[in-house]
Amino acid sequence: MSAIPGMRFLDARILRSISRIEIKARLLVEGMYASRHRCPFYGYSVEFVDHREYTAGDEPRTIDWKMLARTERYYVKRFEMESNMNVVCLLDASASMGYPRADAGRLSKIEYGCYLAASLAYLAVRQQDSPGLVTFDRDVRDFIPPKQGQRQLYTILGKLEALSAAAETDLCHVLKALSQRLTRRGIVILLSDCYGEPERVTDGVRHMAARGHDVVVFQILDHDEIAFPFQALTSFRDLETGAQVMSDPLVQRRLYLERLDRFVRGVRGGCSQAGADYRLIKTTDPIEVVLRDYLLYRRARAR
Amino acid sequence: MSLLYPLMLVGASSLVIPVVIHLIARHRFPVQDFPSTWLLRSDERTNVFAPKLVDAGQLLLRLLVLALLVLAMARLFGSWVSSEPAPRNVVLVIDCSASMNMLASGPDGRRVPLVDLARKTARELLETVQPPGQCAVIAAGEEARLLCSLGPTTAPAVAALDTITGTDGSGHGLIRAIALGCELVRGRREICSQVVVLTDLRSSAFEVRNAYDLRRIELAQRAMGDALQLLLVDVSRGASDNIGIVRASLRGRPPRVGDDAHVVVRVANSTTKPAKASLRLTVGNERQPGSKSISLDPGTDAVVDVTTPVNRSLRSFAQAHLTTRDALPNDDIFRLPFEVADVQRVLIVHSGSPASSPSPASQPREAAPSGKAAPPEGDATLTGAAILRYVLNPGRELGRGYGTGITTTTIGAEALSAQPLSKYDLIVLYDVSSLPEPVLGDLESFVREGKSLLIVCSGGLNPIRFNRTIASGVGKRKPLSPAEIGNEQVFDPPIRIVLTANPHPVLAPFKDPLQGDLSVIRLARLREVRSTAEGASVVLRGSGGQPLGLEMPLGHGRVALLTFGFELDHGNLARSRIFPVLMWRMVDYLTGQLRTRVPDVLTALRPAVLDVSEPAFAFVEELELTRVDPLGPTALRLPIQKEKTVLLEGLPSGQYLLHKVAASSVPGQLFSYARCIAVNPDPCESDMKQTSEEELRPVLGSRVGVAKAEDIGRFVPRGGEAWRWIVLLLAIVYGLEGIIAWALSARREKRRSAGGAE
Repeated sequence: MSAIPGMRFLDARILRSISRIEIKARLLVEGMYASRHRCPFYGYSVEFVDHREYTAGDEPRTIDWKMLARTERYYVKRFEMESNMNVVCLLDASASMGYPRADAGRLSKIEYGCYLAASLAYLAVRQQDSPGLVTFDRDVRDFIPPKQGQRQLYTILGKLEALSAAAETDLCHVLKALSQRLTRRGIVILLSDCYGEPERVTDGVRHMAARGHDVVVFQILDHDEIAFPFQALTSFRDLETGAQVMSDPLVQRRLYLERLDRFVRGVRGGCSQAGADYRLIKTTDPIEVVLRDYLLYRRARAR
Repeated sequence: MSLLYPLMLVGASSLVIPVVIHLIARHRFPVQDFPSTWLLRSDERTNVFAPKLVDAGQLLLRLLVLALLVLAMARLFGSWVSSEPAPRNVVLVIDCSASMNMLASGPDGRRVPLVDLARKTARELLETVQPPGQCAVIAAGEEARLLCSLGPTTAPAVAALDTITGTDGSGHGLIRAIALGCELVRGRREICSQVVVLTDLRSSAFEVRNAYDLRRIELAQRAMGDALQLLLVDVSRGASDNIGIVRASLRGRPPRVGDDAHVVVRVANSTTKPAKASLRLTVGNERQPGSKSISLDPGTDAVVDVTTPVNRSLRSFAQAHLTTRDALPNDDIFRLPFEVADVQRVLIVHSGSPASSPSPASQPREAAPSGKAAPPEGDATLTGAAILRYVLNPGRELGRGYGTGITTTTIGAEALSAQPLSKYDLIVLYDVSSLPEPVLGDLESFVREGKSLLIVCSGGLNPIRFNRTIASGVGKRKPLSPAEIGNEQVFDPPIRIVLTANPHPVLAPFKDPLQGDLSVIRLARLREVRSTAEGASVVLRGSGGQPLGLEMPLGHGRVALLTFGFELDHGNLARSRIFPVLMWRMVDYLTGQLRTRVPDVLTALRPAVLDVSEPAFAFVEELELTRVDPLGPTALRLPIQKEKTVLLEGLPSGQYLLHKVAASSVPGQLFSYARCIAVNPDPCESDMKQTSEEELRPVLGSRVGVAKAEDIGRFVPRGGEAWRWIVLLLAIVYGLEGIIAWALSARREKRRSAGGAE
């Protein structure tokens, strides 16, 4: 049991994977961020901060040749500006994110999102970026503004630890509100199941992207939502509204999957139109695989 | 076709259960929390589970299975199933009353008792009892005895039949036996339960009925309805001719030696035609001469007086024999105890004074044993003692024989010492003032042995000498008088005798003036009573309260004293009509013969309680009952109850002696005292009148039937239960339903798999 609240979301296995990925990712991320965030000024930041080891993919012009001559090892220079990026995770804490229950034997969507948010915050801190966290349901619930430092990570972890899924969601309204509050451009990572009308969801994403943010949408769904594995006649109770629908899954399954597919395509298409990255994540997918795949995708796209 | 257990049809209500399950069963669907229910669209019809009747064919098959099960449990019975006798329960009630000893022609022409015919018919019936039917046997005589309970096999019942014999008792237990049989089969579920009564249908057996037994029969009939058959089988093969003795008894008081004994016999003719019979009497083992011929119309009875002289004391049995040709020999003889009491010997001792002595030249006079009259006296003086002597046996005094059964001897007081006192039953001291002490001692011994002494105090008595001698005790001798007397008193007007509400036993009959009017008696002279002895009591008083009579127990006997004499100038007592009766009763009382016991005539097999308070049975705790029979005596020990009674369980007909326990077990031993007990068959068994089905219906219910023994076969139901067919059909339907259910399930699973694959 960790003494620091929320430390459980930094799973050692995941961190080990992320560490390797971080090293790679960090390089990737740094490379990516470095390549993503090309400074509008020619050259780099004026203030040299430190060196770091060269990793494949770094730009050769950043190599410190003097250090090479001295140490016969490749190092790149780091400037202050390229490491000061906001990475804000928007974590959906509505009731639908609380599925499945704790006795299901797998992570709930909100827990999965917490792991993702914690891992991303950890990456950001290691990259000397500024992680932030926003939890919301139908309104913003908690807003931790991006800030650098280890303490910020602990603050984020503590908030994640105390998080619980409740209430309904209104994604569009929240994204629109946050787009006003997040003044500094950065990466905005939406961790949600995006339940709602696809048009409204993508409208909110569009608002956020229009403010210059790099929006990434991770739509987290549970295996039951994707596969609909139910057999017996069941009365399905909505987690947010409490309404019950009695249904024969064997009869309804095909229609449900069609509607789900239509919905997912709608969200994906909307995000694509808004210029946001989109990933459909199943809670049964390993977190490190998900992160690694996405970061690789982003790095590949950045080249 | 019928149902053996129709109540099981209530199970048909279970048929609604499958319908309920199929139609309106409300499944408890699991509730699943789900985040994307909005994708399920509750308004779509396919989302809603609509209860509907599915698989109607399977439902019908299940209903058919249940229906067949209910029918099987209700035990369908049909005559079309089998032609064999149907399983049924049979309770055989065999009439064992005395009338069943009547001889009748059997199937082979031999004359056998009706009880044998009943047994034969019962065996034939038992052969038709099939399992799971059961059978039982009840013997109905005086009481109902269950010989064999309901059992699945007939062997115990057949064995029980062999133990049945005719008895001497009545058939009063027949109704109770029928009630017992009805209760045995009550609640049984075979197609038929029969209570078959094998009897001769005599109406007297059905006249004795108990409300409790009738109620039991009614309840059983109500509970079982047509399943209970009550069948009375007449084994008598028609009306029977019978003349029998209904009753015989001694008329009047028990005879005494020299008397004529009158045995009154009542004979009844229960045949349908006139009959003749001859009646004779046997006393002891001696047949009495002469017989009486009787002619009786059908259905009538006659009372015949058979007289026989008795010349000696006797304690034995008398038998009235009816000589006739009829089928029931049991009632042609009637036994009764016959006791002839010996004469009462009374010794009258007078003082010898002119006032009391019968005559100066009087000699001891006794009655001639032959009963011949003694020559009348020439002396005209009528003393009190003479009057007493006259009144005790006027026939003898008039030369006409014994008459009252009292013999008197009159002596003077001086001759008393020479008289053997033991041969007398009563000694009267008439105006005797004193006696020598040895004589007084003899008198005391006489009284203590159980005899009695009567002291009459008339005018010639010297009270001073009387009080000093007779009325006072000397040494160990107790006073012999219940009172000390004084002078003679004269009453003018004369006093009367007062009769109290609880008079002395001597005076008890005179409460009815028709038996004798005591109120006419007037007494002018009385002796004064100065004091009474210890234990003495006044038994007679005058109208002024004067004691007229006292008595005192002394040992086993008693002493009585009269304060008045019988002289003609002492009142009108000796001139009254009541005087002789009064004196006879007094002598009977003092000799212990006042209370006569009714002869012990009992009915066969009927319990009785006998009073054994007589002195002969004193100081013992048990008695012995010995049968005096040609077959040999059998002794039975009877404990004496606290109330001085013994209980006799039902005894078979015969002659019995009740006596103290014998010192040895020698048969035929003579006993000093034995009471004769005669047991006769129940006289109601002599009445051959039969009852009919119409007469029985109000008693036994409307479903009772009467049949002849040869017609009993038509009362055996035939058929069987159809449960085998029902079970076979049930198995087929159940198997079919299972196959269809499996096929439907497989098809449903196939559909689900196909839907899941999509």
